[in-house]
Amino acid sequence: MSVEEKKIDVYSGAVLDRKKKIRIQRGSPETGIEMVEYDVEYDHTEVVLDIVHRVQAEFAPDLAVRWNCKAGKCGSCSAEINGMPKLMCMTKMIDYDDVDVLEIRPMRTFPVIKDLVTDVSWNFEVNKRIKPFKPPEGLKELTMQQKHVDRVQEYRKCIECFLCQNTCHVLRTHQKTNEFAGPRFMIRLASLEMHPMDTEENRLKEIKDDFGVMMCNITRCCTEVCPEEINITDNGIIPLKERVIGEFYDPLAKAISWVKKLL
Amino acid sequence: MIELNVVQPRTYRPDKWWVEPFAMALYFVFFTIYVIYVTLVAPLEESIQEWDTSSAGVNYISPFFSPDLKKFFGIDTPVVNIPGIGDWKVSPALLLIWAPLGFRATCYYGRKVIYRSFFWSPPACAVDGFAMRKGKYKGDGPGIFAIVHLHRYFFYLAFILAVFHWIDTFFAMQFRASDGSLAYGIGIGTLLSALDALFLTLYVISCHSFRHLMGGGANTPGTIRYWLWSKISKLNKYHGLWFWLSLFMIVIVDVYFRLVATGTITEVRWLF
Repeated sequence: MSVEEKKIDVYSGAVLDRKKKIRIQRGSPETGIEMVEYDVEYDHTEVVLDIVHRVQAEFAPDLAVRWNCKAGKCGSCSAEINGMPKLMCMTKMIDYDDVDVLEIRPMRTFPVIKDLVTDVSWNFEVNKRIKPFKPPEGLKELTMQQKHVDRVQEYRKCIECFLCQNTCHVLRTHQKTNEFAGPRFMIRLASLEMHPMDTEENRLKEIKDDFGVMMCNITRCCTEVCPEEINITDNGIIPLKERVIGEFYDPLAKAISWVKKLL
Repeated sequence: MIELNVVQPRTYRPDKWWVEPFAMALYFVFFTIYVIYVTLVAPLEESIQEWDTSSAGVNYISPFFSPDLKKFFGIDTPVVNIPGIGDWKVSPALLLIWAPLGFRATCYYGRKVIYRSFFWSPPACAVDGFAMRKGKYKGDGPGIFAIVHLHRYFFYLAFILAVFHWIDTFFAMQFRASDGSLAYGIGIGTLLSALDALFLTLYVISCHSFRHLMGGGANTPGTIRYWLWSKISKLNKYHGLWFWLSLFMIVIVDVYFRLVATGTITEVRWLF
């Protein structure tokens, strides 16, 4: 195809020399949910969110999709692309060159509002239940060594896209929303529990009882889908579990504490 | 709080998500059968009744029989006569196997494999397991499965085992010449033994419980603990890799030593 014959997207300058069948989940629980098919052209440099925008521009101006930065930093465009939870803005179209049809659905764990937009407010309710950082009383300036905040800084990379919450089978399949806070909040709790200057008491007991760290069976899907590549399971949940086991389940530690009490 | 909007299938993933749990389950089943063969069936076969490989002029010991109970602790297992079957020597492997198996079964990576491959809880990411919508999921380690919390104690046993694997590698450098004199050298078996010890050591020291012990449990670990914790953390990232490499190596080494012991293959070796 010569340059003159190529179709160009007037807004982005993308060379639309590839074609793909796209099926997008449309509708809401009130209006009914269906999969709608679109034939879309795309450029090899584009991401799935570009294609959703092209569907909006060319076929369905009423298509609802939540997005913001298009750079994998705002955590808005979470969806399920061919069944895998991903950020639409960080998923390249060329990864699906060999696939005949691309299916885009909203996150399954959360209720659909419309099309690809889901109601993730449950997460914010869980977040409110977590006691905030409590520095030592009378402290004017927080001074810490870098080595003591290294691991906490990894948790701060979280962009709250809630892909981990969506993928976690405890929430997704078993719907244990009352018993388990989910991987995202395990990471937040870890950042507080492991903070060298946090003085909040009973945090570990809350992590065990109120936020249900033991509900996680460490099958690591949260880590697999995290777009920020936070090692949620190995660096967040398992260290918390080890602390909880040491405090509440360790038979030898229990025996030692009994002996100490007797003495 | 969260209600499913429509009746959903198990997954919408069109890729072969079942390959990984199936492959892992297959190896686990093979390994279980192999362990049963080594501990219960093999002792009935006369050719390897003697357990050691000294007849082949080598001093190899299979990882299943390490540490050598006879050599290090003076324990000789009895021979039991089973009517109709024959003499059956109680395998030292049978007395030892519970420790490494316990370590692996309670391992944070091993549990992932078991939950995914055998319990299908879940079999793969964004794929529903068997217990869907029954409300029966109880989390990690409920009831009798609380034994998984003993992982930190199995760690000590596994650590001792790893040390013995290095000792075995040292003894695997000893060879007996045809005139009966002792010679030192390196055979294929020595190299395999060293690889087995290396992978087992990497697997054991990258353990999550060890990482917790060495500094993960403290918010402000001291310089030495922080150094140890940061090094273990680097290894811990590949805990799964070490898990599989050491699990493969155990079988490879055992098969190789059996072949050498039975004289099926003649070993290549370089004597110093």
